[in-house]
Amino acid sequence: MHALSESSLRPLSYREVVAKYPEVPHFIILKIDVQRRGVTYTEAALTQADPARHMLQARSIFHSIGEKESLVPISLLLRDGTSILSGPRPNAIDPYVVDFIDGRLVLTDHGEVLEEVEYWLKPDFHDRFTSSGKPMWQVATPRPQRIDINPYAYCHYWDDGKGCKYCNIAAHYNKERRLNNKPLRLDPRDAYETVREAIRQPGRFLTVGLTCGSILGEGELFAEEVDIYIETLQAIGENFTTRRFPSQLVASAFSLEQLQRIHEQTGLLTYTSDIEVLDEEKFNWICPGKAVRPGYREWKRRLVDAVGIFGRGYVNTGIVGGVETARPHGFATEEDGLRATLEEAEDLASKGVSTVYCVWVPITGSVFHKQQAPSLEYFVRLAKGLDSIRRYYGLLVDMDNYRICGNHPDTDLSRI
Amino acid sequence: MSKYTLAAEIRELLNRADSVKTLALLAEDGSPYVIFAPGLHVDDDGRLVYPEAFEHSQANAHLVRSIWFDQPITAALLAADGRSFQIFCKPYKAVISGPVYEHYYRQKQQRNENFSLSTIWLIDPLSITETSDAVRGVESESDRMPLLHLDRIAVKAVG
Repeated sequence: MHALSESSLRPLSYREVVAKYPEVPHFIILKIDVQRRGVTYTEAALTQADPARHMLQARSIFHSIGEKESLVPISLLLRDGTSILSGPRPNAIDPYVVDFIDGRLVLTDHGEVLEEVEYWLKPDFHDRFTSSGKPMWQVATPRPQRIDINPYAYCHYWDDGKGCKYCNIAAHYNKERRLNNKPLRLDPRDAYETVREAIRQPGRFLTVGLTCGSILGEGELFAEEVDIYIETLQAIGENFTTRRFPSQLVASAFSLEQLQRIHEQTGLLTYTSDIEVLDEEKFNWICPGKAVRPGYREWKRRLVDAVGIFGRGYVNTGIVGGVETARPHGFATEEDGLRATLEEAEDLASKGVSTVYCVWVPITGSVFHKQQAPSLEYFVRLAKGLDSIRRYYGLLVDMDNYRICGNHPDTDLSRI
Repeated sequence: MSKYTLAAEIRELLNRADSVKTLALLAEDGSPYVIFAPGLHVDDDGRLVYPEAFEHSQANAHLVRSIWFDQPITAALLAADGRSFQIFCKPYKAVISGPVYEHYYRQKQQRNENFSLSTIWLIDPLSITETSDAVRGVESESDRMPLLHLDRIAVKAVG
């Protein structure tokens, strides 16, 4: 196959990719391209954003919206239920545009109307406060059906400058601490109270997601991070009548003993540890901290260990799709990057670990912020490839699907 | 708002509990897949509404395939008075969250605590055909040579 031969000369446009891949729904191709290129809003579209109804404020680990400046929609929802986590992209060069035309909010590209969109809706808890006085929207960031909680806002791989090169977590935290007094550590009681309030809204939420930066510690690797998650999960778990509750932990690659401890001491249902780059050499370059502690092969081994604890279909790993082509040490061609990534994903799948991807956005605050993501076609082929591997190995990915997460084009394909 | 407007009588029949309603969907291999859909009804915008209980059901997968790949679906309606109709449709939206979803969620919850609700499918009607025998017979058989078994026109024996 040499599907990238055309795109190596001139990347295919959205319309061309839709025509070339009729087996991939246009909704998902559009989602990928909106994430790749970014999105802005016309004044007419912004007047449709209602602070009483729509999510215009969020404080997440990677970005904040609406802290002080003008309010813009957090993210978008397509007609088929597909989410587009659009995020702020003030420097996007050729973004899609959301407009309000003939009574409909629509995604447009150079004036052409492509699809209807909706803004994410605000949950009932959003404007309430915890008993400690903290605005609940600063405690939890809701997706359409998931409550996201970040117990710790920094990644200590950045302590000696060895954070992942695509990641802005340290720069973002430092900026938000200075500008908006963002705390490093979330009080577990605030998390408990916010989840308690959130689940009073019938039919709104399906799961709780926890993630934070890696905490390496001075003794046993990740011991403190594990303790923070256990404390937070235990507090959140007080809200539920069942021993386990629908939940996902996106965390560092914990040792077998650490995983056992989390599983035994909390109600956590699923575990994700993002390996980020599925090639040892590229991983070592792009994620220099993780390359040393605990190392690529150990990260993979720990993922497989987790399947023995949480079960098949309850463990996966995320990659930053496309970052393996970064310059100068990434794969020279998109074809090479795709082949290597899918080979490694298949190795993990054969051992019960799913791989899901997010679209790499060279984001402000990251080392790679001036780089360029690969072609739209690359991302479509990556989504197809990961979905095909899961189907071949009979691996379900309900734990990270279009409504539980909504940020993985490959799991969007798993709906049918 | 749906572009095609169903007649008020049809909307009323679709919303009646004593009407029998089905949805005919297309499976991936092109074979028909028909489900009884007692929950199928019409909303204030004139769209058909179908609450699908199960996220991983074949019906839900076929509906997803339909909205993804622009495949038609057909709703069939049998009224209590014996009249029947086919409504040709396309899915407009899969509602998986928000006030509309939460409305049906609460409604189902009040009726049965052990309920399931995956998706509220909003479906655009495109056209309608009455399929009652009296009507479709006139439509399909007029101007054609009659298919008439001879016994029906035979002189009846006396005595």
